[in-house]
Amino acid sequence: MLTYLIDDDPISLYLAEQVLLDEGLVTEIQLFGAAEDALRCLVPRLATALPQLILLDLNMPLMDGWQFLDALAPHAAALRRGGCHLYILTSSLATADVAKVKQYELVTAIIHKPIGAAEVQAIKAQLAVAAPKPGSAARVG
Amino acid sequence: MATTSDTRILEAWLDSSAEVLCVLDAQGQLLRASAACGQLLGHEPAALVGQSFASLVAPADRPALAQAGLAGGFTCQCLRPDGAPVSLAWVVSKVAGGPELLAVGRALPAAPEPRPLNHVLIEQGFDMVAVLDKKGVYTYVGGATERILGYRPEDMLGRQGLNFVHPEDLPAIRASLAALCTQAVLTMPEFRFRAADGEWKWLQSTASSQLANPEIQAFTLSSRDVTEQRRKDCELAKSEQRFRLLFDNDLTLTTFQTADGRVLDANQALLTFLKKEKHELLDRTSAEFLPADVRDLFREKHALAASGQRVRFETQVRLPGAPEQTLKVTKTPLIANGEVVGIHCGMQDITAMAAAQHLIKRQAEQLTTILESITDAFFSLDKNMNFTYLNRETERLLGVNRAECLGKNIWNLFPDEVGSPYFYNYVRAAESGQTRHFEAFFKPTSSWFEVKAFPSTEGLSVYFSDITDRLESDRQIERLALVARKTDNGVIITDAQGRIDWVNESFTKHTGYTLAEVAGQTPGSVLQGPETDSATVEHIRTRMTQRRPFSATLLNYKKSGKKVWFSMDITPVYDESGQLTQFIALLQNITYRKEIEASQAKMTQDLYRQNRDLQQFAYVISHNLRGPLSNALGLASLLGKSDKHARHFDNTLGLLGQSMTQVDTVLKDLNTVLSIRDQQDVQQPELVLLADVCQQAQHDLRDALHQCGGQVHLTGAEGVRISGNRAYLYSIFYNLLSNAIKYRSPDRPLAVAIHCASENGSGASISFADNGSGFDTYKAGSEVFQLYKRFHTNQRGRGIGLFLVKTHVEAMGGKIEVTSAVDAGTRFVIHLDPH
Repeated sequence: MLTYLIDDDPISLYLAEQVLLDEGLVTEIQLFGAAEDALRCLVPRLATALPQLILLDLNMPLMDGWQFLDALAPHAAALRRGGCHLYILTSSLATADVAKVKQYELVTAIIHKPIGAAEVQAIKAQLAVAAPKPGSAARVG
Repeated sequence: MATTSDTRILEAWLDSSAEVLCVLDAQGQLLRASAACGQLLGHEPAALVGQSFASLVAPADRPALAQAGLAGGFTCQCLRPDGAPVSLAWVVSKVAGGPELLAVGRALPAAPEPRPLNHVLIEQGFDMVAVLDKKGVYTYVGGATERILGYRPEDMLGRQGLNFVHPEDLPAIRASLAALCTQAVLTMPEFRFRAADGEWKWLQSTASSQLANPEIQAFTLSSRDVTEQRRKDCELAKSEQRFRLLFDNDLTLTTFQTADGRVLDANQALLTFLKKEKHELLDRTSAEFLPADVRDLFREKHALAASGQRVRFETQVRLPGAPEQTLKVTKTPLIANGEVVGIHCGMQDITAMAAAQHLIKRQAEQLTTILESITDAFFSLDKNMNFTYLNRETERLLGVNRAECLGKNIWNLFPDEVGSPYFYNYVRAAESGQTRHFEAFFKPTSSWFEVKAFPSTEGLSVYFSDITDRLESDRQIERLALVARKTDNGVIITDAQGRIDWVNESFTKHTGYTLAEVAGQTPGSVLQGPETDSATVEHIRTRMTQRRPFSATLLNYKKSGKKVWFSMDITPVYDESGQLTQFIALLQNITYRKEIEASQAKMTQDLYRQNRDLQQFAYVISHNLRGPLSNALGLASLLGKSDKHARHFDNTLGLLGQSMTQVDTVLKDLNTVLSIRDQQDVQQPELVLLADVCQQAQHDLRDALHQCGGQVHLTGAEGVRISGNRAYLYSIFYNLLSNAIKYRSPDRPLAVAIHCASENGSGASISFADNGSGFDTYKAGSEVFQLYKRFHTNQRGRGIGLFLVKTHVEAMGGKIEVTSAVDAGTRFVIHLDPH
């Protein structure tokens, strides 16, 4: 299962990668230190190599999480079709951020850092319910 | 009239007289004879009554007697019944008041003896008697001569009679004397005779020639003094002439008419008036010369005068070819013996006088009309303070009736005013002859009057008017003026051009300018200053050209230079013709309110900033503080599950330490930021040389600069001092330079250009430009200077540098702006102003 991790904080990337790998949820992880890089990688692959999971940080220089979401909005249909789930992974506890997340249909849920086993299991459960063909993703990966 | 006693005495005297006393009638017949007749002539006196005087005379003397007549003195021979002749000297005189003659006869002696008797007789007479010889020389002078002429007989005896006669009369006298040769007695023409005192006396003389009488052979002259009578005759003539002159030359048109109207005489004035000759008028009635329309009137008046009444009347007469004239006619009857014998008619042309009277009457009417129509009340008083006139306005103001006042004393009508200002002033005016002008209260109508009293020869003329309303409005104006003077609001009154006419005390209080300092100037030129809002000034200027009141709020400057805020209400004032005359501006000092507003605005701004800072702080907490903290938590959890000999254990531990360091760094940053905030109002500014702090920042970053081969070029900083905080200025230079190094372009060596310039005295501007990688100003927007905002991903940065720069600049009251272009460079411009 292909997963994108987008965060400018390398420690946060490392931590998320370790947790995801430890829980065995994903088979392939791509790490992005900047949202622009992730966007540049994702858009050409919307039809071919769509990640099943994207974990997106909000607070980043230049393009932040919100701007990334806005940039993806035109591709919302393709992402849904491809069974891509996008989670916000943020250290922010601000209620304003939580409220704002609800405005984006693309976002499945918000996860407050640090990400741990419980969070990964919750993602796994959600993916299992939502995914029509769990096997195909593995095949693609 | 003689009494009985007188008659008796006279009778006795008559009968006892030695002279023959005869009373004759005009025909010479004896009416009476005295007793001496019997004794001297031998005739019974009673027997002689009825006989002719001539019958007593001897027949020889009768012709001479008949010729001379019974007058004066003469001598003749009378015959006694026995035929014996008796010579008698007679003096015949008229009895006064009647036709009778008195003949006094005295017996002349045959010899000289009878003379004394003769003499006595003559001396007793009224006449002057003289006897002259045939040469005209006085031989006897007697009678009343001495009494009348003042000569004693000896003064004249022996002198030529003609010498006494006035030379002018001599020819006539000589002629008379010559006539005496042929007639015995003659009456000489009246002549002038010199009296002893030199006066000329008029004498009337009867001369008798006795040349034929052998005993006498002389002229006898019997004379009487007629001077008085001549004088009276002369005066009568003169008087008549005088009246004639008066009549003829009288300017009054005069006629004298008979009772039935016929003209007997007319004077020159009338003839001229009628353009007639006198003969055309005489014996005709005056009515015939007058125009037809007045004839009846004249006839009627004439008839009235003919009844004995004096008549006067006036009438208009228009003669052909002449303007209408007004005649005043007087007809005066002349009455003699109770009968009207004539009428004097005088007519005066009073046209001019009538016109003048008419004019005077009309002027008087006009005067009355004027006095009635003047709006002032007017009345006049005579010397005794009695009303002689009052007009309608006086009636109205005093509440009196004209008819009840005229002729009454003012103080009787207004007894309460005795002793009042009216009384005092009227009396003073009358006494001093000076005009009095005063104002006084009139209790009966509760009014104030303004009074002018003019004294004149007739008394006092008084004009007055009710000024109650005016006084009331004066008081109102005074009260308003008091308000304008004493109000705490400044008041400016300008002329139509906006130049100051007047300011009140409060204006001076609020601005420090006195009226004398600002009069004639416009308020704007006096009060406005550098920070006065020009848009508001323009607004005021525009509104002043419109006709409506308006308000404006404007920053002004006091005389001391201190700022003062005025809220102004400006009202244009127009006169009755709609002409702009004035502006009135009310200035309310709202500096205090403005200060409160300003402090409120500042407080709001501070609160806004505090709020913003709190939001930012919450952001910092949720992202920048919680970020590394959550990492640490995650890493710790990861470590708990990992074998400490596992491959990534040490790596994870290292990252945990790194995360905790990050937490510490953020906490330190927050402390730094908060300390800048806290010290902002405490730090005292100092004068800092910009070049100093800039060079110090360069020095501290010299290693980094050296490594990247960067160059810093500083210009214009020489001598530029800025009042501020040295540490902040250092931080500004340090962070900007640090950023420039951090975000330099990898394609070219770093070049930084710093330019400083003094601004407005104590201020300065700093331009800081690099040639680094830059950023998209549009995308960065307002977030450039926010805490923990970063625009580069490839360089390590916390996003606090620019935040601190901005915070330091603002703490010193400055502003910072940034412009940048990707891969071209970034330029910061800082304006520092200690105010």
